[in-house]
Amino acid sequence: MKYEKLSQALDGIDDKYLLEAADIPAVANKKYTFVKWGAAAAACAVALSGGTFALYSALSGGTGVQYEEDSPALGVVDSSTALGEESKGVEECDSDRHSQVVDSSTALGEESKIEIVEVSSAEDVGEFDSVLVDEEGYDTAQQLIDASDSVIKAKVTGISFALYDPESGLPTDNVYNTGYTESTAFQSKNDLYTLYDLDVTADFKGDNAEHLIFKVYGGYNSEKYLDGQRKLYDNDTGPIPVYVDFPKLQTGEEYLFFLKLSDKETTPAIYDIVNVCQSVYDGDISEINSIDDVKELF
Amino acid sequence: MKDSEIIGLFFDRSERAVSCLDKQYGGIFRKLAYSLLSNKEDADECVNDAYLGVWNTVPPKRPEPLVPYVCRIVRNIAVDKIRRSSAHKRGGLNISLEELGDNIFSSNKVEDELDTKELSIALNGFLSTLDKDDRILFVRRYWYCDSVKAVAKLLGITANNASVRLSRLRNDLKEYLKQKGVEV
Repeated sequence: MKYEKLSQALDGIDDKYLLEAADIPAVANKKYTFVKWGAAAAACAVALSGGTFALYSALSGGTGVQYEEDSPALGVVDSSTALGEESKGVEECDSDRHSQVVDSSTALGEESKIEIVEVSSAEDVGEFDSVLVDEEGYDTAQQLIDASDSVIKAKVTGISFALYDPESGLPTDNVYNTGYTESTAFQSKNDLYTLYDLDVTADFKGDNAEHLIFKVYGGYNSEKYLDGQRKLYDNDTGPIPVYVDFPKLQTGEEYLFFLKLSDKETTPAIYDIVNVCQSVYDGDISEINSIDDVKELF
Repeated sequence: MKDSEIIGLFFDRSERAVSCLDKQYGGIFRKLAYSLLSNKEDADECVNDAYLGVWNTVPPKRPEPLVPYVCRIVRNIAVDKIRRSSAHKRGGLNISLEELGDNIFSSNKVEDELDTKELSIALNGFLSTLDKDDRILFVRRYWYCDSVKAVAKLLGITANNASVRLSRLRNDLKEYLKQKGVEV
C-alpha cells in the first residue's frame, strides 16, 4: 500500500477531531436562517422576454445562504423564516412563479422593488422545504451553451420520482445502501430526484435522441404529485426539498432546456441540469429556431 | 442511549450490547467501512469484525467516547484487508492517501524514512490551527475517506469548492510540516 506510514500517522489523529467530524448529525440538524432571501430570489429570477429565465450574472452580493450557527450546512432553508419574516413587506402575488415578471434592475440590488413571493402556496406548508443554492451562473449565452451537452426545445411528457445514492450518484435500486441510519439522518437519506420525460421538438446542440429524461434534485412542489413523492420519501424522512429557483414545469408544455449528459448508457439517456437557475427557459420560445436565436435571449 | 450505557452492556456481557451499538452508530461505521473498501460485502464483514473486536476488548477497556474507538477498529481492519487484497487497490482509502501523500511528500523515499509518531503529532498540531469547518473537511476526506462529493454535500458546499479548499489545506499542511522540521 502506498503511503503506509502516512496511513499510520493519520491513525494518530486525536479522538476529539474524529468525534467532531463524526458528530455532524447533531450539528447539521439545526435550523438555518436564510438572510436576504428577497435579494437572492430577485437575483435569481431576472425576467427576460416575459419569462423567468434567471441570470446569475446579475448577482453582485447577498446571494449566499447564511446560517444561525457557525456550522456545516446542508443548504436547506428554514422555509418558515424564508417565507415569513424575510418576505415581510413583499407584495403578494400569484404563487405560480412563472407568471411573474421582475424588472432586471431589481436584481442589481434594489430590493424594495422585488415582487417575488416564492413557494407561498398552501402546498408548501409542512410538506416541502425550500432549498436555495449558492452557485455560479453563466454571464453569456455562449458560456451557458458551452457548458451544456444539449440545448433543445422539448415538451414535458411525464414527471416521475426516483431515489439516488448521494455518494455514487446512481439510482438506489442498483447500489448498496451505504449504511445510513436514523441516527445519521443528516445524510441518511438517499436523495430524491424529480425526473422529467421530454420529447425533443428541436435541437440546437448535442446528439439528442427524440426522447430523453433529465433529473433535478428534490421533489416537485404540488399536491398532485405528493403521494408519489411520499412513497419514496416518507413523512419520517422530513419535508421534501424543492429548489426555490427551479421552474415548476408542466406536462404538455414546451420549454428551452440547457442540459448536460448524466448517463448515456441508459435508454433513454439521462441528463442533469446545467444549473438550477439557467437550465430552463420558460418564456415564449416560439421564435427560437436556431442556436443564434438562443444567443439572443441574453 | 448514552455511550456509558452501551459500554455498561458490554461489561455486563449482555447480548444487547452489539445490537445497541449498531443501532446507535452502525450507520457511521458502515459508511466508514464502505468509504475505505468500496465494497458492500467487505464493508459489512469489516463492521462485524469490528464489533467482535469491541466485544473482545470491552472490558477491560472503557472507551469514551465510543465512536472514535470503534471507528479506529473499523479502519484498522479495513486497512488490513486492503494490504492483503489487490481488489481494494482503488478503494477510497488509497485514493485519499495518494491525494494527500502526493502533495505533501516529495518522494516515496521520504515517506519511508518518516517517523510516524512525529508526523501524528504534527498532524494534530496542524488540525488545531484550523477552523472547525476546515478541520472537519480535512478529517472527513483523509481519515474517514469520504469522496469529495460526499464531504461537499455534508458541509453544504459545492464539490468544486471542497476541492479548492482541500488543495489549500494540503499546501498549508506541507508548509506547516516544513516549519515544524518534519522532512517532507
